Amino acid sequence: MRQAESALDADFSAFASARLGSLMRFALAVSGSPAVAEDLVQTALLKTALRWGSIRDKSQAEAYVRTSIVRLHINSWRRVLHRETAVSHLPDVGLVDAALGRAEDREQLWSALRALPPRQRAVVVLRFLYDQTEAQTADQLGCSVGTVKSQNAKALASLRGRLDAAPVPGGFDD
Amino acid sequence: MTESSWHDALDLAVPELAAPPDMLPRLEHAVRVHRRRRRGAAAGSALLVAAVVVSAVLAPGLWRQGGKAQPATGSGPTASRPAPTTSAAHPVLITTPCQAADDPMGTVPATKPLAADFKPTQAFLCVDSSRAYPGDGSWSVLLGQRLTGDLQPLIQALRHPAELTRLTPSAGPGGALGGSACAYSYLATPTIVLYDAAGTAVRAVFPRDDCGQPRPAVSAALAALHRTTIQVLKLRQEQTQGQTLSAKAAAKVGCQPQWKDEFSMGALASVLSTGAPISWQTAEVTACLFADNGSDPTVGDFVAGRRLTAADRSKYLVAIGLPGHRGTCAPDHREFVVFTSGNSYASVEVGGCWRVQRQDGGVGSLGSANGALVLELVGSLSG
Repeated sequence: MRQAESALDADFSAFASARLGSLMRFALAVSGSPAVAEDLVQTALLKTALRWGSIRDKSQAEAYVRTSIVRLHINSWRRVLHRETAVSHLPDVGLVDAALGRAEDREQLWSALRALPPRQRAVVVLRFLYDQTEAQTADQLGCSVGTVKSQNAKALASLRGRLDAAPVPGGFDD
Repeated sequence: MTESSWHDALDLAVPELAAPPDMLPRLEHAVRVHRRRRRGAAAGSALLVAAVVVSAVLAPGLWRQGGKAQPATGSGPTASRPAPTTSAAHPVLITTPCQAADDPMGTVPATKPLAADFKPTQAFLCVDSSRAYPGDGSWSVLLGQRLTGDLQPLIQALRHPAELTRLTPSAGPGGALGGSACAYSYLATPTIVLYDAAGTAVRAVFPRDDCGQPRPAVSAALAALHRTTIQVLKLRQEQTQGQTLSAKAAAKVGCQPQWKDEFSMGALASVLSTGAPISWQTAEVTACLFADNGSDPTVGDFVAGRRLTAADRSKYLVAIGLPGHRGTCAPDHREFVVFTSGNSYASVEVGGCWRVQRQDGGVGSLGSANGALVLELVGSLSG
């Protein structure tokens, strides 16, 4: 029996297969939610697949999928479908140190990151996790550098506040 | 924490996330659906074009030459523009450095270093961005940004052959190179356009390392320059004004402007016949009708909606909880209704085998018998 011809370009399939894990993690970092991340990656890849023939510089494809993911998330209609759940409280015990090497510290930072508003979270992820400059971050978010700066400042203040507020092991309140 | 320690901390904190094994098959299915719809739309357009041609032949006086012919723009990404006759002492002032072809999505980067005899006097970036236009929706745009400051570090970086891209098949973001892992990120880079004093333009490659990352020297040289946006070139409309207005109308009745059309994604192809009663906590239920927008099969645009009365709720919510069709469903709908109540929702395919997608992940089907009730609701919403 003849197998149905794939609707996806072979190059695109290879690209998507190779980069899926990376894109999922990026979407998770931007959205804070595995369900939303899956939606974002699926939709961004679909948009890319439909335009694949017109993308002559295939080396830029992942950058554009990422940009698409960020913008899809900022256009927050999706959050209605899979509402984000901001944690109401931080773990009972946590240690905040510079390296954040312990598992509970990582979980605490991850919780604090997810609690940020979408745009602030996107700024932090792009600026620090993906090492983009303020100008590059502004380009990807479709906003001004000034907005990136202000959102970044608010986000870091919020993260620091949440991390600093966490109780230190051994320091019990009487 | 410093920037680098934030990076390290976030890198540890953000977990890995595996993609569902059926993601690519679902993607392929969605592409097929989209292309099938496009073909249908193209057939309609062909009929319209044929009608226009026939009318032009039959009544040529009705048609008039509307505008000047546009010159062909077949120049490649590194092609120079015709040099205006301007003395080098008075450089041409460039006000529109970017062209649609500079959209990095479609640009073929040059693979040779900046020629030694090319003396840039002005430098620009063409940056992909997005902007809202009152009355015209939102657009994907290309920002032409003039770079001012000391251009020499940037020019030197672009001249250096060692800085050129040498992507190897085994490397790239997330790959391994020489035993060390490449970073997962792949940073977008803008197109760099350089002009000499005579107004000749060169589009320069943005040098990347073997992992596909932009060379820090170039990034640093760019970061040291001041950017002024002097051109905004519309590329593609992302949201029409109609969609913007539709968003306002949707908000007025408590609906969202768009909703994900999960029925078109292929994941819900197999359904069970068993229903499940809808028992939501709040009495306020809104029904919103969405129609596929034709360009993106994963999204439905708001059409109409209203809050349900008590009588509506008892009728329609019971109907969507009843069992119906069993088996495989092909995507055969243009509309779907979403019932929302607080954080809960259920969406119902209008047509086909009347699938029901619930927030708890359950997938059922009304079948056409119970679907008639939903069709009645659709009629009342649209009317």
